[in-house]
Amino acid sequence: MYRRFLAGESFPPRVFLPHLCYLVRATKLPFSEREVVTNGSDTPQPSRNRLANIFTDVQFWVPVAVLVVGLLLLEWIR
Amino acid sequence: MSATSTTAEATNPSSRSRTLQLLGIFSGLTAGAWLGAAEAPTKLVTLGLSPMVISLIMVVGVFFARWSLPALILGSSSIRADARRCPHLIIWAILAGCLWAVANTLTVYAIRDIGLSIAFPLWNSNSLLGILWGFLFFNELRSAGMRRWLGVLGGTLVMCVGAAILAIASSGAHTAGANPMHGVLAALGAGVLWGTMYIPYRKAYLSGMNPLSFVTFFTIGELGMMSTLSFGTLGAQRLFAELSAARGIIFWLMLGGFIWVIGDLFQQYAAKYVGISRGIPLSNTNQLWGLLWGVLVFGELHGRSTSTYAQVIGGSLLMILGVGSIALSSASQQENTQWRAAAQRESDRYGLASDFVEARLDGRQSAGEAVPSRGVLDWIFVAFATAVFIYFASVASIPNLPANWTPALFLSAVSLILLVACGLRLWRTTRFQ
Repeated sequence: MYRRFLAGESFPPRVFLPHLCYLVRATKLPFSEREVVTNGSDTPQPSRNRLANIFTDVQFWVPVAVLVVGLLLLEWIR
Repeated sequence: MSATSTTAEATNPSSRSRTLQLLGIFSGLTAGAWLGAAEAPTKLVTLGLSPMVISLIMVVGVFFARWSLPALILGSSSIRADARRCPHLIIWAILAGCLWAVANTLTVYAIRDIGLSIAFPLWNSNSLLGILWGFLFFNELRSAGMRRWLGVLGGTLVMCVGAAILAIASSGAHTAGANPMHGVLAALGAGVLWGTMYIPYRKAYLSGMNPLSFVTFFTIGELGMMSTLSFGTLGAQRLFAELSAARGIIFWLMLGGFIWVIGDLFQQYAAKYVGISRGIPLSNTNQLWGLLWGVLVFGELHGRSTSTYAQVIGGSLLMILGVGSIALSSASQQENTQWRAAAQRESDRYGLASDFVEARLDGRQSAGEAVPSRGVLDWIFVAFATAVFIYFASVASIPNLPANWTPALFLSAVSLILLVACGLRLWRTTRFQ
């Protein structure tokens, strides 16, 4: 483009598209990769992604295990 | 709270901590009163409905209450903000709701097979499990000293014995079902599920989530699981047939659910400010209040022997003794430090801002946090829930059940006084944070 300008050619009229970029959504990150939004200025980031943090938390698996056992017990009693 | 005391608390963290502990104990006791009162409307239902349908209708009332009350108190903007800050807790809230629904269904089978007198003490063991989970996962009762250990554990055991005596005294002659072993396992299973349900509660409050936000997501799991169980057990055709037959009493059951939610909200604040090891036993006093409603209003023990009345008085005194022991064993400064270490673990793991978590643990807003406000959506929630209740009230039939209205008015007045007093205390101390 600049070479053509230096050679004396005029620029073709610029056409401004009506901000097409606003019509296209930014790529949505999967849930596991989104950042945690906090209010503090010292916002820390989780060390790993969120789903990994949940699935490696024993406080998640204990209620899950108890729920599964409860459902099996209910099914057995019925 | 006066300006002087607020200033004193701001400069003295131990004073603030003591205030919050007292608030938690007060919330636990108020929870007991309202959870017990929730049984009253269900006693009006004499139609031979399936227990599953009764539970489902109550849960629908609970669902409306859990969405409209938080919208009315703080506004859904606050709930959305909490969900953005701690989205991982939505999973735990739904999980807790599922646990509640399965436990509630198991109690139906437990009562059928072994009767309330044996089943109730078995599932009341949830408070002992709460102590275990609180100790293992959330540093509760760590560095608490022998006196507090004895106070909490001893108080809980005494309450369990008192609850067992009350259950035996208040239940009628029970014909054992086909399989008593099923009943025992169902009751124990319900206790384990309810005791474990408090893990998500405590986790949410150590992460700074508002109890009002937590219950909003909790009820999705509750209603989802209860609907699945009802459809699975009865089938769509029978379920709709029973629901349509129950049209006249839906209001009373939904009212029971609504009252239950008020009690549960206070229970959430108790779990937040005194932890699950103390909060669960305190709110388990609902049995005492349920008994008061049953005996004074519905004349349930009318004509029973003197020994039954002696059992009721003895059991009640034991429960009160246990409550007193737990209430006097509030967390020390050292134990509070351990709680904060558990909260720090949550902050580090899930990337939460320490100042936010710290502020919420102290029952206040963090710096820069938007003041909760109500919008049009909130008023739509409230109006819709009110309209549903008004509709079912208009088609409700008044059950023909003998009841003593003077004690009913007295117990209602006491419950309302507790609601207003504890609600005001919560508002003045924490602004419901």
